[in-house]
Amino acid sequence: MTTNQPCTFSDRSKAIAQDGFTKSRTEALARFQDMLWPSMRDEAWRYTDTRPIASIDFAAADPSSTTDMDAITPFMLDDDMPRMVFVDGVYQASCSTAPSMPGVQIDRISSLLANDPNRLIDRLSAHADWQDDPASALSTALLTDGVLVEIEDGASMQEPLHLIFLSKGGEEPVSVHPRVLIVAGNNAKGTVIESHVGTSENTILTTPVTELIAGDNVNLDHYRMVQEGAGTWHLGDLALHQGSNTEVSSCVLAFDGPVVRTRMRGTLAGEHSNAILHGLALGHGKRHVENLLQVNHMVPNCRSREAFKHVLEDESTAAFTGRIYVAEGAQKTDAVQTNRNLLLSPTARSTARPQLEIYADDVKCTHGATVGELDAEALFYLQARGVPTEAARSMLVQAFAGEILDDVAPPSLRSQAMVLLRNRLPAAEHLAMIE
Amino acid sequence: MLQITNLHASIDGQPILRGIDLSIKDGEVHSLMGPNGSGKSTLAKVLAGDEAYEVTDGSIVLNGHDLLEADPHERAAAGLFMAFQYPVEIPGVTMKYFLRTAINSIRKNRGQDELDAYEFLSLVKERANLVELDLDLLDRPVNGGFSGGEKKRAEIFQMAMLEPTACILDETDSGLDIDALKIVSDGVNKMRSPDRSFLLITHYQRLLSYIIPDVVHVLVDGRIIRTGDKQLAMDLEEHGYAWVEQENAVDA
Repeated sequence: MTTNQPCTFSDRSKAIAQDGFTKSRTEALARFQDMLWPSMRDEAWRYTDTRPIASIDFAAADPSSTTDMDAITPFMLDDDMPRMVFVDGVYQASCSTAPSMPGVQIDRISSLLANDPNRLIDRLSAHADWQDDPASALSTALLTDGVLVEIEDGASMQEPLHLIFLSKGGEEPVSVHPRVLIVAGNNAKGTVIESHVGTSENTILTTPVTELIAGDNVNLDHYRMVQEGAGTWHLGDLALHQGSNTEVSSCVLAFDGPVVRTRMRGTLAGEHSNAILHGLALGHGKRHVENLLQVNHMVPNCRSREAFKHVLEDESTAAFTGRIYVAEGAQKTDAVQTNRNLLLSPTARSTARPQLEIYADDVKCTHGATVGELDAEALFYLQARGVPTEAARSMLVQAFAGEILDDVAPPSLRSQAMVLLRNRLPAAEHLAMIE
Repeated sequence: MLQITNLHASIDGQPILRGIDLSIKDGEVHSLMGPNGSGKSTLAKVLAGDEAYEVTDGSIVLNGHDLLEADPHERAAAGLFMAFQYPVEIPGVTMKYFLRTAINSIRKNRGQDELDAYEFLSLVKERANLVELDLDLLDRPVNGGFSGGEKKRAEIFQMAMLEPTACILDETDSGLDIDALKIVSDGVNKMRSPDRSFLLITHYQRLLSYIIPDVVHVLVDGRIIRTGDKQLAMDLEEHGYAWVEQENAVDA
């Protein structure tokens, strides 16, 4: 299974049946084989060491993979929230609710590839910039299934759609490539939540790619909760493309998994739009989290807000890169970027790289990165009110994370995240329950 | 009873408290007055267990508990409460969540049952009434964006929730307008009881027209230089702190 040769995925690609997407797959595979997994000398991969996966011969997942509700229930949000479940990329009709909402078309990408490829052309892989990212290129090269959510003009999703991607794997290492494409027509509204989860220790590579394409006057919220198993490498990609008068948010909650790397790109292509990119990562043991962001202000009068927080224990590491690009003529751009790191142990490490590339002269772009420990005054205040020291420290971690979680709009997702956080903090038994 | 004996404390090697003796019996209200820099707030923080200060000599005993041997949370469980002069803002945790954690930690430590959600909320409603506290504040982050008056009211509300036996109020009157001062004072007066004692730390006599103290102490340069009844506070208001220092020099 492990050789000294880099895995090129050629055989995997050949095994995929011909369809309307074959040309893109072939191009993407060639691009991946050009890049392979970059070394840490590559600027974009300076903080994530891919050597442990570079020569693993990842097999395709077993197409007959199944699961049962017991495995899914712990990751569900509201019982009656519409959901679609995939196990190692294989759709699980028995665990899904076959969601249907007026004005919203929810389809599996596999059936569109077979029956209605026109709905994918110029959309799928059109915004993910797979040309300069091996994980995204690999995803495009091996793409066979996933979900298209298409919100018609003027339609609102009545409730969030929950997409659960469970990684299970097997004796042999497998790679899975979940795909989500969200297309929101003019005046559309909606919320999509992804959960990338697993409890197995099997060796798995997952490269989830989500593209959000918003027309004009769109309000779209997207969340990605990551709770991968101990052997799963999660190399994700998110691309947002916004028309005018839109507000699109995406929030990545990296709670578990040995390596969670997320590339996020937001492109503001219409005026008076607002992009909100948030993230919270919890590091413990030897976990590594990386958030690599780029926001492109292509037109005037747009706003972007990036707020990423990392809580790092033990020997965990986190890296944040945030590039703000302001095109020539994109005047009155208002961009704010923050990355705050809370180091709870002397061996935890964090790195922040803000990058501004500005070609307009009337803009407001600010960035701030901080690395800190718990605030001694706040700690004393809590202790003086009777909270034991360890619990007071934990409560300040809750407070730090709370500033991101408070903005998570779906109540069931917010409380799931708060409960997960509470339960893993030291002295949790002293902390009030989350309601 | 709160018994402070020969208390010496310093910060960064600089002595601030230079031998304080103070004994507050159950049910009594004492006031500690003094000019800026005399060590009033230091005493409050040392009583609550702020580790920034080093206690170099003396003892603090509350109802038989040696407080100097106890961590801040154990002091709270033993019955001590210190209302902060500058309550700390903690964004990201709601007042309600914080207070429920605090009250149940204290109850656990005292061997009492924890309050469930219903019992907790009933108590919140009852005690918020004492200081006319807007219940909406409880869903906001701890002290987050509270006005000066709201912060001080919230401190007294927390005091009412945690039911301490020794209450230290560190300049609770500072930054309060006259209406807020009345509300806060009324709240404190309603909490007075035969088994609860108070130490009101204040710069001005103003607060003492609303909460009448049994004993008034004057702290200068880390020592209590004069102790009297409420008349002492009025004399101080009229003549200033320099007057006590002169009087003392004459007495000596």
